[in-house]
Amino acid sequence: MTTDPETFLPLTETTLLILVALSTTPKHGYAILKEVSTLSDARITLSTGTLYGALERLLDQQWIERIEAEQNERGRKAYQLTNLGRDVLKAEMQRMEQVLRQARLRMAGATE
Amino acid sequence: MINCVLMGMHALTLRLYPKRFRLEFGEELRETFACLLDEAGTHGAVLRVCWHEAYQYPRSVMRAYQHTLARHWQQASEKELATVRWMTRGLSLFVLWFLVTVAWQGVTKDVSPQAVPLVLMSAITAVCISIAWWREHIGGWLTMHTSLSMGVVLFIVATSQQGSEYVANYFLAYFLYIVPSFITGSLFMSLSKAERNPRSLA
Repeated sequence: MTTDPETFLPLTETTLLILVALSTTPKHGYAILKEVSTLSDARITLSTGTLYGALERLLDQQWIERIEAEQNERGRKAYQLTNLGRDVLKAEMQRMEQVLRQARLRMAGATE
Repeated sequence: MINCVLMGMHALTLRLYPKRFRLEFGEELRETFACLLDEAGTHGAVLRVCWHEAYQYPRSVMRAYQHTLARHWQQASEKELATVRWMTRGLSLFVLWFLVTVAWQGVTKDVSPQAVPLVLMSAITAVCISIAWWREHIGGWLTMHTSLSMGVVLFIVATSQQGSEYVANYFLAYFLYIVPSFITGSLFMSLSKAERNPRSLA
């Protein structure tokens, strides 16, 4: 499997939001759902099936990994970004920044 | 009480997921759904949670099967993959024959105005299947969606008609080419995902 993050771009919005949700601390399914909803201003509400389908694909791609959560988290399984997942997220952010920069330049040119 | 009933229904819906997915994520799916219900509190919010689950359910089940197939085929040898590809193409030829027959009848014979959308959809689906031979991903995706649309069109046409003849034709059409078209599109898409493409599972 290739590990060049550029080859995975662009990401779907759901994938991007899940990766962003996991970029700070490991989270279990419910916390990821809430974070995705918050990040998208409640525009995207994932169902449990959609969430775990996406997590399955991300696990297969080795962008995230499963960890055993602490006892105070009711022993739930949690997920965290792998190094590859973090690299993919960074590459996607750079791509989006570049697009935004170009768009702003053109918009500024158009309004002058 | 209502939460218990909803949890039971949710557990039942999980049975339609592939076994491997159920074994790996079933417990977490139940836990997360229970958390959502606990948080919802009011009846309105509970309804909203259930609506989201129900609305996205068919798509998540379909994607879970597609992913399972793709994963299975990724582990298969090139020879096995080629066999599945040719079987899919064989099925697509069978479906194509029905679709072209319907479209051809629409062109050569006088058809009722209600049947015109169906004839058009058949022709479009036939084109999509042909595309899938060269571009499996896009062709498969188009075939799946046009066959779904054709199913909806046929349902509307059949329900607007009276008489058992139409109902019989309706079921016949579903079994002869709408369901097989959908399966063909789905197989083409899974095959494309099975290719050793780095983005295949994302």
